[in-house]
Amino acid sequence: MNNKTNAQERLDGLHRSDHALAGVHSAKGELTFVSLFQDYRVALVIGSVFLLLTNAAALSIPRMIKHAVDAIAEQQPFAVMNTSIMWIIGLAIAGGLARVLSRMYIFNIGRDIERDIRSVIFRHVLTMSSRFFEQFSIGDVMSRLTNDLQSIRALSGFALLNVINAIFIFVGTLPVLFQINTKLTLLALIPFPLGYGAAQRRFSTMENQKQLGVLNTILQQNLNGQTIVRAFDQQEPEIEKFEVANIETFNTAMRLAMIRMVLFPLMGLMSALSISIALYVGGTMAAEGILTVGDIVEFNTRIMQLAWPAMAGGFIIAVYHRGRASLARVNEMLSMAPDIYDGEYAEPISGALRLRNVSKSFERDGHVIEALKNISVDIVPGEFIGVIGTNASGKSTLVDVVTRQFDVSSGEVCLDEHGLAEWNIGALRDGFAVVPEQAFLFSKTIRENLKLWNDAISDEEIHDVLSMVDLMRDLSTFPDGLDTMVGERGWTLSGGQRQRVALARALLKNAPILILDDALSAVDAEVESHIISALRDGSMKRQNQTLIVIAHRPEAIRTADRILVFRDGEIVQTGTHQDLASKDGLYRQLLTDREEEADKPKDQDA
Amino acid sequence: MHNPSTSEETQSFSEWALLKRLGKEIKQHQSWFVIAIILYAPLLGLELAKPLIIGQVVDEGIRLQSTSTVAKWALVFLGCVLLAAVVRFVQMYMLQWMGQSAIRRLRHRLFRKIQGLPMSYFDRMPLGKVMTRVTNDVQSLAELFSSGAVEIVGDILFLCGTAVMLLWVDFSLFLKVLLVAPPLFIGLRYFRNAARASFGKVRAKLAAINANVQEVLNGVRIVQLFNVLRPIRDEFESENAGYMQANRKAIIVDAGVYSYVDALSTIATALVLFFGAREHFDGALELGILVAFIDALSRFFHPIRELSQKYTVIQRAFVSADRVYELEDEPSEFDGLSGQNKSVHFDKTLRFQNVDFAYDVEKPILKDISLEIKAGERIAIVGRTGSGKSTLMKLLQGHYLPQKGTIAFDGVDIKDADLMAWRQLMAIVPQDGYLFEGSFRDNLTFGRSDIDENKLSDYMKLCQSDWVVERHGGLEAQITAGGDNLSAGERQLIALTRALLVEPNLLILDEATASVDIETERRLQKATENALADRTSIVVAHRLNTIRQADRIIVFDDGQIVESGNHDTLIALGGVYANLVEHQQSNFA
Repeated sequence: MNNKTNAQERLDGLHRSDHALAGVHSAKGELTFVSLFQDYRVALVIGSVFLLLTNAAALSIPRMIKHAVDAIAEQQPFAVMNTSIMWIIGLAIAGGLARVLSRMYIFNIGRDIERDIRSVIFRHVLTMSSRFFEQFSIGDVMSRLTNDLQSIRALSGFALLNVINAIFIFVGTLPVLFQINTKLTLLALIPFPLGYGAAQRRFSTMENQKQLGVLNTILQQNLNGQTIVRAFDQQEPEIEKFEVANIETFNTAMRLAMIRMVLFPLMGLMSALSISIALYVGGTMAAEGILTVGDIVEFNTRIMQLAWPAMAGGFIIAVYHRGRASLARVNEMLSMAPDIYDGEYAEPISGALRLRNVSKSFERDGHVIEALKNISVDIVPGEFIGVIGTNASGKSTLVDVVTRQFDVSSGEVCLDEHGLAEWNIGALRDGFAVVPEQAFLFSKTIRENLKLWNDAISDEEIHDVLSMVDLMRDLSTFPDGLDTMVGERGWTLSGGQRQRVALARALLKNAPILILDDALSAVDAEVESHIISALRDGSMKRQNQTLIVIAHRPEAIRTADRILVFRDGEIVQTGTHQDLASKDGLYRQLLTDREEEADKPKDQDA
Repeated sequence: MHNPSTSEETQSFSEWALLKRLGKEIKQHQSWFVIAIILYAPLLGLELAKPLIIGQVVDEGIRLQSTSTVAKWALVFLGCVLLAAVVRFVQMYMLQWMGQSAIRRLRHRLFRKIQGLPMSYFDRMPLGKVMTRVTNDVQSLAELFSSGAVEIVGDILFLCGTAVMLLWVDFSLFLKVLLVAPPLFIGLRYFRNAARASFGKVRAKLAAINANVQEVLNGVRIVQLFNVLRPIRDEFESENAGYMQANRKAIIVDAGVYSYVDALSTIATALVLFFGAREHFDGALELGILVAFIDALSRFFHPIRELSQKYTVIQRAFVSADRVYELEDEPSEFDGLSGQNKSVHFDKTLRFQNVDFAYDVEKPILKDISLEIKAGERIAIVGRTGSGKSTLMKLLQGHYLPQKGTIAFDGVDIKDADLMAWRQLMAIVPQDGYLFEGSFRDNLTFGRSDIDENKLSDYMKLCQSDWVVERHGGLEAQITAGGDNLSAGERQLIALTRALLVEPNLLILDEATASVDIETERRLQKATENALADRTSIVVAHRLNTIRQADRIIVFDDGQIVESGNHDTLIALGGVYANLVEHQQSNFA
């Protein structure tokens, strides 16, 4: 258990650091069943041996019964029969034990492989950037982690066992059947391909699954919009909408059931047909004295034993196809190479950022979007930089570029005179504390969210920061203070509270560069101005911390040392508030737009 | 309200009570059910005939060396099998149809139930869990019906039938077989408990892993930016390994129970041989009967083995049924009302009188609120986050009832009113402007099927949403779930249009706090101005502009109304309001 499995090790080998993951997309890195099974060869052999023993016992028992019956028929002494009976009991117990052991060994392989793949996917996905999530939505990743993993597991546990089992049973049974009588065996086996073909017809649960998805979406939307549904008195139309999908779900479920209902009796027929033939032909032979009664009984028992593995063969082929398709889907996800590979450089960061002719373009829906065009800027440690601009002018892309979420298309970004590619990604990210617009919190306690596994942070520091971001009062209303669980299972925070927790988290990280990416949008004006002035007068900043504030409202960055004004991916103006406010240009326009809004009512009042 | 103890682990109903309720689900198709059960008789007969036929082949055909008899009985055997397949199909179809219909009705009832649950239910029950009840839990009941239930009933009947037959074939021999019964029962009991424990553990661990992974995926950017990959990964690996361990135990239990029953059935056969041989020598038992008995005995154990295997399916279905019925038994929001169902109008006044409210007894949110709003008035409510203004709006919409005091339109208290009619008096624009997946048209005309094009376009112009619609490709363009493809400001414009199209007596507008770009902001201002003109409205306001234009500003602080009056009066007062305004303006100076 402590030893790393092959798949994990291979993956670790691919990590040049914790972050970069190289070459999984190459032919070598692709997960194959052969590579997945590599660590479990021993378990597979042991499991197979036990399976062989199980089958040996199962196959011997009817023979022993035959001996016993024959002994009775031939009026042999009790002792002969008693020996057979003792054998039967012994075989039953040994066979049972062997069965448990065989399942343990072989099914465990499936579970182990499931764990390995889940782990590989998890590690891979954690190194991915937004490009990955554009291609694979979270729902999609989850479905690969659940449904696909399940079918891979089915293939590597259940199907594997049944394949080995079927081979053993056929190899063990056929010679015995032929030994009893060749002609009889051949005739009795005629129906087998028929049943095999029936089982092969894969019954797809897709249609039903898809329809269930439709139903779930309706339900989810309804639940999320419950207050609106009530406010607009739309319960009945909603119920009607649900009912339409509900009826369709019923229909698909019935169609699926139909296929099953036809398929299973058909496969049952196969073995019944086989037994009928055996009865007729075998019975005739016995009547003619070619076979004994015991032969007939044994033959029938064994033909029945063959029925299940033969049917299973059909299912296994279906499971095999599904498992392979699932593994391909997993590989598709793993094949996406990370956007970044990191370097070795890891030194304490002073916070000097230099961008030289930086451009970044994306391809979306066939056309190229230039998010950043030829940006050059030098930021010295301790500077307060304000960033403002029109919508989608590249402000947030700037954050992604300097924190190396992805690399630039052209140009160069240097942190402390070292190109970002030279940096170890962990060391680089330690240099930044970012407060994103979407304040994401984990379903953990507030304290855990603030510390983020950094045990060096004391409660005292936490309290200091919380009062800076004006959260102390809110904290007293939470049921368990810092130990209040947030998220799905716990206390619900308002948007503003979440943002302030996210801000506090970033402040506690105490990184050389603090970036607020439109981070106070859900905080009321009063609190916002409080926080901004605290950032302004330095009571909230660590010594010489570089501060980058991206804002929608000009007032948030008025006191910045320098303001960068963005439009369409370009910096169109740079300067202090005073500089820019006095010049014609986008900044003044943004400013007057705001002032107009603020002033308009005054005018009207006047 | 905190950490709700929703019965995730505890069962609210006994298994017997659940069985009775599940039985009720198919009561509507009672006659079908009876027929399907009766069909088991021919099925059982045909199944039991098989060993007898084999016995006939041996005793009459082979013993008497008559090939024609052998052929005859082989044909009879084949006929039996074919007939059984047909009967089985008919029976399965009936049971399937019944089961799936029951599930369909159950889903429908649950969905309807949800529409009428008090909003407080959703405070203590995360939406994800409610979802799970209607989807996964109902689905596992569906699976019980579609595969399990049919076979379980069949297995039990076959078990009883075979027992009767074995008794009939040889009473004393069967009694001797019963020697294996005590170890069988003790063993099954043991495995039953073990299966329950291990299955519960597997399920809980899987749910935890999936929830954890989904969360980390949602926060992957934070994970990367804060460089916490390693601890996150360690946490995940230990959960992942724990899940595997739980599965390993479940595998042992699962294999154990099967092997145990299987071994006992073989031992039972050995017992039959042992005692049967003696009876045969005594001349009390024919060889053919002994062979048939051994054959029937394997059939006897087959359903036991099957039932023990299906235990997890049954167990899961019981857990699901428990949670589904618990949801169904929740009181509806109307249950708290006296049921006077008075019709209600808003021509004169809306009056809150001495209203007290708390989600949690220890933390009162609203304290003794009294407020009268006249038809035609324009009210702005201001106050800091958590001061109780949104809660008051929730009470007004009847999502919660006040613990003390009354809320009344034209003198009719909410507790006496028809809640539907009450809600129809008002339309709300929620802060997040929640939108549904569907076209712009569907969203705009939500709640109204009788809106003509002219009216729609008039209101769209009025509320500036024509601009939003155009930007996104027209009325038929799609809005994604929750309105995620629209900006916060755009969502609010659509939501405003949606509200006005219902032509409410009272408009409730919860202004968004989110900052929006300049263009959208300007349009929002304009739309709000247009919307509030000549309309009774209550605005939970954040924009100074909106606030100033109100006839009356109500200032909330700490669950109480601390000031009230128009902008100039309140500024002159120099209190909480003046302070708020000053803060906001300082940003613009």
